Amino acid sequence: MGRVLVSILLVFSVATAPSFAFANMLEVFGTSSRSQGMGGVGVASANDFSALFYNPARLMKVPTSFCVEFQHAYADLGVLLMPRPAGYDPQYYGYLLNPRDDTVELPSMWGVTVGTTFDFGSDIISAGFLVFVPSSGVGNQVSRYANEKEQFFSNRVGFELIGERLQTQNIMSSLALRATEWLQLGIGFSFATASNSSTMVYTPNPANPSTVDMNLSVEQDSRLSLMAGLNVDFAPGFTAGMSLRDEHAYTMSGVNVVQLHGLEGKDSYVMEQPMEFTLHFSPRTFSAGLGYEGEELSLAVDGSYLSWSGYKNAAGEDAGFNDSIDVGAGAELRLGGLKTRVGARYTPSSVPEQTGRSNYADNDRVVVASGVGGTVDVFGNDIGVDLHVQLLMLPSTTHRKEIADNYDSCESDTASLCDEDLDSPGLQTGNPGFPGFTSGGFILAGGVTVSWLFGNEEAEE
Amino acid sequence: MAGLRHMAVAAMLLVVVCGCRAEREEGLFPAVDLVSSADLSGADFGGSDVVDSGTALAGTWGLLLQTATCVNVLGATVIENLTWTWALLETKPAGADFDGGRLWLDASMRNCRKELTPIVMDLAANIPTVIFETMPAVEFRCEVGLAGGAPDGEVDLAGASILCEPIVELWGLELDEPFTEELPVSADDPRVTDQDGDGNPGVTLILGEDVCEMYVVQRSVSVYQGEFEGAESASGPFQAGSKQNLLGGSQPLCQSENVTVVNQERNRLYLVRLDGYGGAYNADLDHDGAISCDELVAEGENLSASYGVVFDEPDNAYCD
Repeated sequence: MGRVLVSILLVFSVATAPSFAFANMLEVFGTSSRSQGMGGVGVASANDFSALFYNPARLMKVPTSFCVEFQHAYADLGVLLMPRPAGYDPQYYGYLLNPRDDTVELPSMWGVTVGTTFDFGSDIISAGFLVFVPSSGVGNQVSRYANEKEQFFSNRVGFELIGERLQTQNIMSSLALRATEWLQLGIGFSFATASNSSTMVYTPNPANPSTVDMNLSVEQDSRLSLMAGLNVDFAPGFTAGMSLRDEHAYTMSGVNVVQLHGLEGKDSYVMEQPMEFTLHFSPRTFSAGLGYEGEELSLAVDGSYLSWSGYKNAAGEDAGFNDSIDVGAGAELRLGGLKTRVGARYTPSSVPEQTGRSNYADNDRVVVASGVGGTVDVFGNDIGVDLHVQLLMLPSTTHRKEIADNYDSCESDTASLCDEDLDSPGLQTGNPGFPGFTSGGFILAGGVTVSWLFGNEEAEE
Repeated sequence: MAGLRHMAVAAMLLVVVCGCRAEREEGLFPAVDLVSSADLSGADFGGSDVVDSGTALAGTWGLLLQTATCVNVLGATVIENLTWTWALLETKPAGADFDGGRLWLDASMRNCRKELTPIVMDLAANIPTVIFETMPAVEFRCEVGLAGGAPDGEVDLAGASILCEPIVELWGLELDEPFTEELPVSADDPRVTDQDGDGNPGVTLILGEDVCEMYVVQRSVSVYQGEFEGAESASGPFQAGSKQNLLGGSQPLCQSENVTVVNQERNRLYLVRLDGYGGAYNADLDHDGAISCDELVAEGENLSASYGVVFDEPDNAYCD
């Protein structure tokens, strides 16, 4: 009881500290084939580089190693728009850059993770470093409006929490200490960027703004987000873990300063266009788990409380999401040299029904997973090879806009479906999500992890 | 046996996965036509055969309109753009219900001239008269509500209201559902016609003094209404909405479309008598017994002065 109390106090003392940082394929699929094959559990069961992500305290359970994971996901997902009824088109509608359309293709989702862990030949301190690089490379940032403003751009409703959002690199490092015989503590950081850009634009011919003279200034700053965790060996073979990942986002701000030739000397000669983006936001996540490790069998259960109510959309606005709790469970059976794994996870959607102005498409996720692994000897080195496959089912979800007696104009603080032309009778809206949309489908993900287990080699020697 | 179990598990997963797929559904919003929300409550455009009357309103009228829009010019600024329209209206009685204080008119309207205020670089779009000459007359019915009733058949128009059924005018295209059908966005659309016969799709508008040509299709929907000051004139606001799609242009300056929004509060309607009936203004300059578009346009200033017709100057403050 005393151990549990100490553990909870430690985690909460860290959780109340302000900070920031996560979002990418790791968040949806997990990391390391072992953990992913067990349904994404790891808070009290990770015994490889995935401890960096699930619970840095468990780095104390990991020997020195170098691991490379390749993972790929095939998605058959869609956001289907309901047909627009006649009589709601604003005047310019039908002449937009892109026609209103379904979202039926997601960007390719695959990436490579490199993880290293160091035990320093000591049993009191460990460290680790992890880099995830998505297939699209490093530094991708894509924004999208989740309301009627998107009609002037893609004119689609996209998945808010998967899709482009997963195409983000992740860099994290952690340090773990053995505080007592039964208690391990870990702390680490995830790295994000905060950029500030400004452009100075001169428009020689305002009637033909396709030709402009322009200077660019970009400043990159870094932002660290806290990760912390503890691990308690509370009985032989039994472990409890808790971890915190603080919220994380890439931000971009700046201003375009535009000068219009012909207006020199007038107030309108210089226009300033401010920019403010918040991208790849991930919520503060508090996780807890239990693990059992026997001679042939390992079992683990995890649960996470995700503070989605703090979610910021690309424009940096509160999205009105709900906090959620996800749960997962997994097992590993070791027979001979073969390890067989199964697991499952349920992640409820944090997005409420979209009856008003916004169009956030998201679904519950039901994950079933499986995997196998083993160790082979390569030139005297132990090389771990693990495979996993995950099926993520996103049950179909429908959002319908609600009919109202009156519709407000589309101001920044308008949450309900808004009228883009108050002077014309009735509702006029080009909102791509009007009058509703349905999303759903599945993702089939898989991968392989190759590990050089230096710790095992030393043990054999 | 194990194979069967695996197949069963696979089949179950397949069923679950297929159940996840999104299917397109229908929304809650009903379709509405463009004029459904115009206030036509109580109006009856069916006419009446109770009494063949309303002859006091039969004849030739000038319909002078000011339509206001706010134009977002190249995304840089929003300015007010006014369109002044001179049209001829021929009216004839369509019945009356004097006990109910109502009578009806059948109207036939032909546009004579439209003038627009400048948008870009002091350049205004000019609308060639060939567009009006190649358009059929627009036929519609209006209801006149007599303020004090007319139980004995004596019609006093002072204070009487006039409300006409919604009309639609199409430029450069033919639609099966003229009020509601989506406008073409491409010159290749078979609904686009070369209305003015100049070899270009739709109708051709001229920017400035032959600076460049814009090829457009347009739909205008209007609901005319007003109040009679006497037997010779009526005025009031009116509802109008128009949508124009640019199909092409002769030069880059005429190939960019500006977003426009109707500003109903600045719309003005003047209905003025032109045929001299009962001592009213007579625009029949050539005394041939009929009034032409040329005569209406030629008499524009005198007509305005006689009836107190005032068109506004553009004021961008109305578009803030």
